Amino acid sequence: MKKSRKVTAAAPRSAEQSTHALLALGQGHAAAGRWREATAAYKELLKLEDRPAWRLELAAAYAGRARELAGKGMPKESLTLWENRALVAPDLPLELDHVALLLRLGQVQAVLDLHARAERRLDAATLAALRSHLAAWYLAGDPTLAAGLPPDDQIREHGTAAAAALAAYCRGDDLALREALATLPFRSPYRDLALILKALQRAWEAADQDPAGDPGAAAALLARVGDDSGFAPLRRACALALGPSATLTVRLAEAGDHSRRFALTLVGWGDERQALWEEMRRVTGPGPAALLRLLQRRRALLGEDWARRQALRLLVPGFPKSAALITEGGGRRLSAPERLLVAAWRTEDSRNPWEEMEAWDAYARHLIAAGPGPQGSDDALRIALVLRRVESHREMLAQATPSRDSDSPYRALAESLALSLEYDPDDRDTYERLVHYHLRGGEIKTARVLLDQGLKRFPKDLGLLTAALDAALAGDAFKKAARYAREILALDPINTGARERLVQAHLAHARKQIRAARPDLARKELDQAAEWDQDGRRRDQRDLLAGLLDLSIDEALGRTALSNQVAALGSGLSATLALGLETVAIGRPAAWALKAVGLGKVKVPDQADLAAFLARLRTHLEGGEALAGELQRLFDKPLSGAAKWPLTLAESESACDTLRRAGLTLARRTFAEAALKRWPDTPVFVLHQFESCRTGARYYPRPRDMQQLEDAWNRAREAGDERTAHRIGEVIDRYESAGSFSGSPGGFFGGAFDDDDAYDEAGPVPGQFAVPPEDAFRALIEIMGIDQLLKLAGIDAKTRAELKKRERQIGHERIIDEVLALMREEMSDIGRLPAPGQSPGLPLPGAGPAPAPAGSKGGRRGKPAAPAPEPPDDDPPEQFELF
Amino acid sequence: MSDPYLTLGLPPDADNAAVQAAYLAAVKACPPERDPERFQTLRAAYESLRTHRARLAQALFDQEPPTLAEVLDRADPVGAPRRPARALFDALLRGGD
Repeated sequence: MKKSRKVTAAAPRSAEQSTHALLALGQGHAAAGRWREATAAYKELLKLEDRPAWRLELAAAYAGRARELAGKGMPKESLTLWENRALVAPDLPLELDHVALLLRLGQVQAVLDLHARAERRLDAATLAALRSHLAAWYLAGDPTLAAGLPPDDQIREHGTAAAAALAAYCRGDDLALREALATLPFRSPYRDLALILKALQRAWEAADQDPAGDPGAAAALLARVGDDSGFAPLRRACALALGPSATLTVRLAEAGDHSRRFALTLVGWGDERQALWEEMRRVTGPGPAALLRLLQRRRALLGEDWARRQALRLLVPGFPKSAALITEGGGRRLSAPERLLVAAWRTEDSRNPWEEMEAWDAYARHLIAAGPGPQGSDDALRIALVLRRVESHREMLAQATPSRDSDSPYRALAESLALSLEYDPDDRDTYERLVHYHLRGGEIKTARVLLDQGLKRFPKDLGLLTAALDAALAGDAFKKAARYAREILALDPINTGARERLVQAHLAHARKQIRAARPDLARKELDQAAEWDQDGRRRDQRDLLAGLLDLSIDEALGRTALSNQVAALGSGLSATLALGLETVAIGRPAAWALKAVGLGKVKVPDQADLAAFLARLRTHLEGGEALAGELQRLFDKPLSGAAKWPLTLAESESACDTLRRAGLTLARRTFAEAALKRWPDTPVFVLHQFESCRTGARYYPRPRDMQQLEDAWNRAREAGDERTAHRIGEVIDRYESAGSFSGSPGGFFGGAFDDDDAYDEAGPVPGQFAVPPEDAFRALIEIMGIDQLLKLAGIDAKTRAELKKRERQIGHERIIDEVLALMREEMSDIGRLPAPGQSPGLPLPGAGPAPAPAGSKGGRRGKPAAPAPEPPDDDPPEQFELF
Repeated sequence: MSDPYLTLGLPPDADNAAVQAAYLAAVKACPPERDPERFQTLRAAYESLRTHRARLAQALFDQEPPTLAEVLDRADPVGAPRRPARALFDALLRGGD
């Protein structure tokens, strides 16, 4: 018996050890696949007593260990164990793995001897498998094998056809391949080869007709080749090539050299590609550093520019530290523009747009300094693209409004876009984007300049024409607006939006002419509006305007016309609103026309009239117009009387919302209270009631009101009404942060809130800010007037004039909101005027870092509570001295 | 694959006509109904190279790092399936792996 090397018996060596214990030990190791230890145990056992059954167990352990060593790439050691097995149990049948190993080691004659000795003792399947191994070797051209087999052996007889089939496949002669395969009988030792060649044809040879081939059919054919076949290595190599190309390299990770090359060749990898891939396999893996080195080494093959650009991209994640990698990989140092470009790429992950803007700006400045070339040149286009990069990447201007703040990122972005047009004036999207941005901020002149430039280049562009229409309407240039609308309709006759806006433009122009006492021109505009108002959607407005025009010229004629029109509209509150809106729009008091038609005294509407009134009011508000103060005063009280009508919950909610937007505070409160009687504690009505009570209020809300609001917030959250919960949350935050101004937990009045009555009676502590700052400024504006307040705040005359004009357009309440916003902006350097929801004395946005959020108030809404109260400040806030 | 030139098999100096022709040929070879994901990739590649301005933008702003597959594609794109040489067959027939 030959001794295998390095056998260290893990089995017990004690003389007293029983055979029983050794047997159990050996079997335990064998069951666990610990063949080496099992072998040692059985050998000890056989020393104690030589039994045939134990020899068989030792033989099995040798076989297991032999396979283990073969798998580890130790064929010679493995063969020793196979030989030991044969010596321990000479009568055992031949194992195919032993045969395969012998063949791999070139011991063909030994295999032939084994074959000759074991042929009669093997079952048919094992014999067929053994012969397939011999067939594979015969086909591979082994001369010893050919000489060792009788001439009439099927391996030799069929070998000629099998070799012909294989040669035909390799040279691409499919006809010859089919003919050769047809001569091989079903039970030929080359049957597995035939299956494999047919699979190869199915999977790839049909590629001319069908690039995907039929991998399913091919896989089925390959599956018929057993693992014990002599053709199994060939089958495994073919199977590796089947399957998705995306996972090919993963499938090949554990394959041997021949199998990899075979599979890669089958799927179309060229020699260069295979060599590169093998090169990468030999290094640590496809990490950035390894790829960088590969790019550098193979730059001649890959192209210098391409390899360099890809190398730069690999530097982005760790830049600037990663810049060293490129020189470590053998590349040249980064040039200045390369460094700027990679730095700009790096900032695109940043959440801070300023970083990105500054980085791209630096790159743009470099390109400009290098010489932009003429307009339209690639260099000029590159500069334009770089100047637009942040906007095209982040799309920040899409919803932004122009700011006067010189540090505003929107302003900087808009400037970059405008500059880009100097280098590339043919980018229509940039015109449109900039125009809309400026229009949102009322910067009509800037928008017009851009539109003129854009329309010169793109005169038929619907987007730009629509923007021009918007700009004209925003600037009250109705004649121009009508011209643009006509151009749009000429290009797109079914553009209902443009048609509607054209009608509106003519109506607006007619109002302007009536205000200017030009009835002839107004009449002309009305006729043109009628011409375009084909579906009659604006008929009521047209007729009312015509009636008002008559009334301004001939009272009797006008009264008749308007009376007929008002009667056609139902003579109710809705008709009164329609006439009132048009009258105010032509610059006359509503009372002038309403009295003329006998609607001077407004009555409580019935339910149908109420619905019509609210619908008309909603349409008016959706057009961006506010309800004039005169009309607010006219309708607020009679509408309150209509709260008694049995509206549905949805109707009540819609009514409250419309009344809120129209500034009809009393009516909103009455409707909210009526709704709360029908649907007690409904959060949205609690909110409407609270807000309507707060409008114009001078003092901080009572704790019980705040508590009701907070309860409503909880109910809204529980009911899944996130929208209402959000709205209520905002209101609570606004008052809470205002209340935390003094730094006391209970708000500015501290302990005063502990006792409602005490608060109500005592009022605010003298010298302290007794109301939410926002409300305080509102009160100041009411008392002093907007103009006086703005003067004191140092706002220039031109801006004040614009604001006055805007007040006429949008109403008193909304202009106060805008003035407060403007003052916040103008006084940001002082940093004391609080934004809504912000405590005075805290920095304004942009004036410094945001305050750290305080701990949540018992986690009430799952978000940080209002900013932490500032320590009490003995000095009075600076802005109060201004007034 | 992130490099649109490699996706469409185009040289770096391809013009509008070449881009369009390559895209149409690729879609014809791999229609959307057969491989929707591949079609999306082709479409994205086409959009990023469709115009001269788009090609300049792609060169300036595409910062997607290359993959090994892209480097291999650049060096030697995958071609049509090939038949292994007889020597490779023989190596496997002799039990090699």
